[in-house]
Amino acid sequence: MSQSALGNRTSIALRRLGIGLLGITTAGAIYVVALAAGNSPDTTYVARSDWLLGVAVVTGVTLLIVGSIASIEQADRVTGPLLLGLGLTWLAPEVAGWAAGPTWMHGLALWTAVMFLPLLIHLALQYPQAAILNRIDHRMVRLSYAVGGAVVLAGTALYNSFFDLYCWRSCRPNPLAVLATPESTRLVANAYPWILVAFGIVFVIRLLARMYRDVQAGHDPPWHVLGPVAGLAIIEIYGAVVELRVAETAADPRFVIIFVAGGLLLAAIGVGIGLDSVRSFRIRRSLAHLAADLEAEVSGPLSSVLARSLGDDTVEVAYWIPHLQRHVDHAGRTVDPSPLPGQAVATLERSGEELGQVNHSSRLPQETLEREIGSAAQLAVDNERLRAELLAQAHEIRLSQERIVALADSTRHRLERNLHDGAQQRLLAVTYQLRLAQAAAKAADDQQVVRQLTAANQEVLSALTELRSVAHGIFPTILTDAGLVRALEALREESAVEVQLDVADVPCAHAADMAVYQLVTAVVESMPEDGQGVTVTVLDGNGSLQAHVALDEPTGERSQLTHAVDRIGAMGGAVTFDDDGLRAVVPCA
Amino acid sequence: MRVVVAEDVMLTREGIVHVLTEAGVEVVAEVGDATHLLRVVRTEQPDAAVVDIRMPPTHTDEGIVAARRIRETDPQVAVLVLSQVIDSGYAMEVLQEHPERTGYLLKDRVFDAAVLVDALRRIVEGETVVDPTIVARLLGRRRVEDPLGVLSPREREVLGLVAEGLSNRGIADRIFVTERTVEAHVTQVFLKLGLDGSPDSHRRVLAVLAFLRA
Repeated sequence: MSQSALGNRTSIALRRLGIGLLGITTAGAIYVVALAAGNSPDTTYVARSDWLLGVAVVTGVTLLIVGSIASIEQADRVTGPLLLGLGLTWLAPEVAGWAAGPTWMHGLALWTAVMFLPLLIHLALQYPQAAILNRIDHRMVRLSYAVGGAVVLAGTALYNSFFDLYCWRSCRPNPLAVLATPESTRLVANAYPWILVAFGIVFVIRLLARMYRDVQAGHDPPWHVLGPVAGLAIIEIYGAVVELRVAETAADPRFVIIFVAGGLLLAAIGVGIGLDSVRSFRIRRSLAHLAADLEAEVSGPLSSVLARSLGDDTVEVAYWIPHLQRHVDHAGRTVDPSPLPGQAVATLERSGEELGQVNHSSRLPQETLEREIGSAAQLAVDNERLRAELLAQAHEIRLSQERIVALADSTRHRLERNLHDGAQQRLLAVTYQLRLAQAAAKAADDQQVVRQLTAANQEVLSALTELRSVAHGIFPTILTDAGLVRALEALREESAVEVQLDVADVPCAHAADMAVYQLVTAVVESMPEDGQGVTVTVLDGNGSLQAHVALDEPTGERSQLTHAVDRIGAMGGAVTFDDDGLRAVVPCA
Repeated sequence: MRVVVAEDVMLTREGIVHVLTEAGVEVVAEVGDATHLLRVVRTEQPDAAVVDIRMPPTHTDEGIVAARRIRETDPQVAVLVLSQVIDSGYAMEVLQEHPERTGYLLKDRVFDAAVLVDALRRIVEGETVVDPTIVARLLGRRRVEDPLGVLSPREREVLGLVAEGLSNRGIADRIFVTERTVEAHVTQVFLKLGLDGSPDSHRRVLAVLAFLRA
């Protein structure tokens, strides 16, 4: 066994031991408090009324149960042990007030109680993420533990309840207080509430800041836990403030209220965390089936399998394609990865590289999801991502083809326009000049010149006719001006083979019309003159053009159609050849 | 004859105006787009308008739209549409509603005074004009079973001239026969081809063109 694995097992064992001891101690504290209810009416709250005992026991038991379960279930988090600790430190003053208890227990309990606020601060700032994200929060936690520890040390040495006029819980002498004097005792006793107030206020501010940050980032902070925490902190501050003026005693109704409110809020925190644990547990259980579901799933993308497993139909999966520098869905379509309102984002990573993300309802625990999906769906994620990348690339290629075709078309359209508007008009002007000259020659009775000019005019007219057909060959403007139906009718008039038409007037993008027109033209031009004819049918395919070109005598000669077929492919359509000719489907938009 | 000319290419427009003026036709206005055309037709009330198909702003079929409008609102004004494109579809569009007093001519021979003035004269007299090149192309369409095969050569010739919009009189002058003979030929053609409508009406041009285009 390797060194680190050995070290791991040791630390796991130690952790388990520590939590076990903590749990036992807390249980013990509850037991002691129950005992104290029977015989310590002057030094505890619980002895004064059964209700107060009830509050203490309920709070203690709640924290014990939730803390224990959280410690066992989430072995890498501190929430469980912190809850146990909170239970222990909250009950500690009552333990210290147990009249029948040994002196060492009183001292220990009193100083344990000091750690209540640091534990609360730690719990609140790290919940529910395992690590404290904010540097300031991190420092605050460390500082509060440090100060708590310092107070314990200083107090142990300098505070002797024997000297404290206002001691309540326990006035027994403290054998460890070697440096204690009445003055130092009073110093410690007076300083402590101030420290509580200071830390309490800073804590509440940090808490509110953290909740604000969460809301700004778009995900819900855990209100059901942090709300009671804030309330509890405020109660503690209030208690410390009151203690500055008046010594604590169970006879004072203010302190009773503080005790009750504190207990109930603490129990509420425990319940809130407990509910979260239950939810996490359920998610993990349903995700446990995920791996099996994915294997069984023949069709259907990861997002629909997840939606079923999690019971969340807002789930979306987006994959990150590095060399396209964007996110795509399982079909390779570009998607916007930002989560919808009410959604959180679970990132899928491997070795620090982002594979993609899962947008899910924010009521599902994001961390749990990240972990579980990552492990259960590893293979599915890889497969789907690879496929998505290929589809996205294919789509890119097709789009670039479309662009190339569109550019070629627009260039030729411009050429045609220039020919039509420029050269043809000029030639027309030449005929005009020639006629003028002709008229003059006639008037001068110069027959030879008249003949020459007439011949010249004929040449120009022929040139005009040729130019017209060249221009049409470069780009069929009639398609853009009058539509596919008219363009095909014109084709029919000029063609060397008989063309029969059955063309529906389908409203489509010009590029789609062009693709069909070019295909029909290519077929017609590839046929031998005076041979059998073609029948062209164009139907509305509900969002696509469906063209069927039937040849009376199928030649099987397809090489001349390559360019036209390519063009249809570039538009996202397809051409199939069958016995009597070919069929093409072109998306309209 | 009083005429307005609508053509956006200045060189061509001036040429047309010059040809007409030399031939003794009075050009009362020349404009460069459809809006102005409609306005001067309103105010000047000419005998005929010479209109280019392609004009600003879109340079597609402004001329056709204007021609149809004129035929509706000022039906006594004849309209001659000029085009650089041999398209029987455009011709049909121009003639569709009111074939009489309307004509469709290719620009190729617009500077030939004889052709232009003759066309104007014919439409002012209430006839129809269809450029012979268009008719020739329609007649020349490849068909495995030629529906015109039932016609005699003479009848075929007459059919072509009917398609060009000539009246019986005009056809008679062209092929040097009597008007009577022409009438008989036309009736026969309509019978043999099973054409709709009367062989004498103004709309016979449309019937023939539709048949040839089908």
